[in-house]
Amino acid sequence: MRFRPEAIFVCWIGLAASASGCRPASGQAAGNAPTQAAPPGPSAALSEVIAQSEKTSREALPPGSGRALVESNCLICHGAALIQQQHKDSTGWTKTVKLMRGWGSPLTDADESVLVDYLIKSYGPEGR
Amino acid sequence: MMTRRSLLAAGVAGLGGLIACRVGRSDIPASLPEPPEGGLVIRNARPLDAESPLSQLRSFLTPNEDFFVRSHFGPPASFPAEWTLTVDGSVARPVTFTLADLRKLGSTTQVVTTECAGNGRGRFRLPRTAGVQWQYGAISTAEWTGVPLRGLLERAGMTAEAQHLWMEGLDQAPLPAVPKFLRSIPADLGLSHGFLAWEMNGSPIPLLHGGPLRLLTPGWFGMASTKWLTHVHVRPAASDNFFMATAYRLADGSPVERLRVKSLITAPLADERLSVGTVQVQGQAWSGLGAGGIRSVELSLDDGQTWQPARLTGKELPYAWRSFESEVRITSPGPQRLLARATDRSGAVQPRNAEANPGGFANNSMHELRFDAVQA
Repeated sequence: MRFRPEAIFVCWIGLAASASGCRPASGQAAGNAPTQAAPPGPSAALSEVIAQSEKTSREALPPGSGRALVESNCLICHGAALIQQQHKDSTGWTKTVKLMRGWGSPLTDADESVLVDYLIKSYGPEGR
Repeated sequence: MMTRRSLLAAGVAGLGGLIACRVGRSDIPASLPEPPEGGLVIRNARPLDAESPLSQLRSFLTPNEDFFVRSHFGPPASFPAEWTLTVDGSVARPVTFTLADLRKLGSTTQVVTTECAGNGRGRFRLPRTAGVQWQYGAISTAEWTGVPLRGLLERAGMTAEAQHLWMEGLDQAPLPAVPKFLRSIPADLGLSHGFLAWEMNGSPIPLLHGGPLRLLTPGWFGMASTKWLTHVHVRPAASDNFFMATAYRLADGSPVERLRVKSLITAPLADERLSVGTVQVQGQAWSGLGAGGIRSVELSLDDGQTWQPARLTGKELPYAWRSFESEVRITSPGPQRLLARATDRSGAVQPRNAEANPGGFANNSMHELRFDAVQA
């Protein structure tokens, strides 16, 4: 498959634009065609693996009441793998979740403890 | 008790065993033996964080497609019709350069080894550490084409109060409340070492590596080499951005800055099965000290009781790693453990186990390679 730089570029735009608060650079509307300043993107093979990795890690989230909270809060900004490779204790996950709330995660007060419990249970220090 | 290795080998990687994958091999967990064909090891898909496979780090220059990938927020969402770099703040003459303007300043090349500050974080055992759990491969070397930052700063004319350079890139987080990734470096460092690059190994810098324009700060960890650079704010003080004031701090609160002496075995690979007899060893060693930074590399097959010197080979350039090679003699079959340690020109020796810090930064512990020897 021949690499098309514009394909991955649009993909990146889509990822960023999918979240609220995205601001296009230099007055351009997100989703516009790439301009001459856009550098070459990753190969088609790497793009496919990136997409598969994102999908696989999301599907690997264990079932539970916290899973939907991860999907609707954490995954706004980053892939599930960033969570899955952590092995934090209660203090660590609580600190992280509070930091993310401060950075704009729409998580509610009521859901915070549900999410923290899910993260400790799924990705606690015993997973090492 | 199950070890981490046995846990992964048993396929209990449901916690995220599928989080690390390689091009064309998306089902390979993070810590299993490296397949010979190589390919980036993906630690996180969005934003993309990917390690270089050790098998692809044997060459002095790392091919662009194998160069490790790291950023906090991924590439910018869109690009302007014409890329510009502005230098302003504590300067006599604020100035904006297009890429064409920069090329008119001339161009030189510089080979730089770049290491992520979190490289090896996954080798620490820390219950509260956030961030990508890098193993060994968040390091690569490329030849960059561009111009020293000094010429631009001189063109702008820094005033007497100019002490720090705040480097701003075009990347930003999806949510507006997330702090922008902004690092500053001391102005003296920018004058002496800052390098603006638009080519990487002879090609336009790819999107994932900070193109069309990025900074290189040789000798410092990668966070000081800002990608997608658009703005140099000349300021009297260091930036108080989250990624300066809070993140990238060691256990004593001091900032993460200069590379530490370190070495990496690139051949053989972990868990290879090799015949008893002579084994060829290759690797790379680096420090943040500049020219002649690596004094020696040594190898041990007896858990550090005795050491044999390796040969330093290939090019010696100020801020590039130094290749090494050696032959080690395996006398009996069974599990083997090969250690490498580097010593820099200051006399600093790579520690067996680096002191852990809450952020998991700057892990320069000795590379411990395990493989099996079998009777020929």
